[in-house]
Amino acid sequence: MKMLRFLDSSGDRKISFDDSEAMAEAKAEAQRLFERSMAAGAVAFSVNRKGGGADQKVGEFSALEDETVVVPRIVGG
Amino acid sequence: MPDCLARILRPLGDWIPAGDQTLDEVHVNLRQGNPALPQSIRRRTRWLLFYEDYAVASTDELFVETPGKGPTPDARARQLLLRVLNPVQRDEFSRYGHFTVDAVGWGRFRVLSRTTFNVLNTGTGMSFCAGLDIPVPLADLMLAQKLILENDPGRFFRVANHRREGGRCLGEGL
Repeated sequence: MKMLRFLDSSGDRKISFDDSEAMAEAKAEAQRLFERSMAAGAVAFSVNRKGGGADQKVGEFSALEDETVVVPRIVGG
Repeated sequence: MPDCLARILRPLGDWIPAGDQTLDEVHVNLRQGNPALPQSIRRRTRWLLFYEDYAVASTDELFVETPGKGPTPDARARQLLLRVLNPVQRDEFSRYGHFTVDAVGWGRFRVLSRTTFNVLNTGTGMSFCAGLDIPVPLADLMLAQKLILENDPGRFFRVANHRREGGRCLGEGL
């Protein structure tokens, strides 16, 4: 099971999915939101990786690991 | 007194008048702006005192859950932040309300619990301000800054405004 977390005003919007047929709709929704966010300037990071690996930037939906945090576009404050 | 302030004051011990003062007493003198303290010490410690003013010893009050309504956005964001911080950062955040990140090639930064100019270079005292283009809870902002500083620091510094604490804004980007 993979989990995408989109940071937003609610804290985060969480979408879980896997490659099973039963989760096909959730996976498609996750991919749509992921790609739309990335096109809008968001950046995604794999976190809490297996084996205690360091967090890692990820750019492709196909490369998502178990847990990914999607950070909206960053702007000067 | 914060450890970082003590680390700066200790090597300056010979310069501190009345050498039998404890560091805590020096800290109080700094807080009170005692003019007897050498200007060099006041200058070196000014930004540390500045961030100390803003560091939240306990951020719990910011993240209170509403009974019967589930976690508030702030509580959800805090839970996520705690899940993603490494153990050292988690401990630091729990104790002081801030945590430290290493941005490879850029230095070490303290991410403070405030919404503006909350990323502080611990070596230079320069502070940086960059947020997200949608409103998010404070803990989400801090999480975003951690992830970007540790994994894609150039993205952060391209857009961040920066200033020296106690001074004027120096402009956007580096």
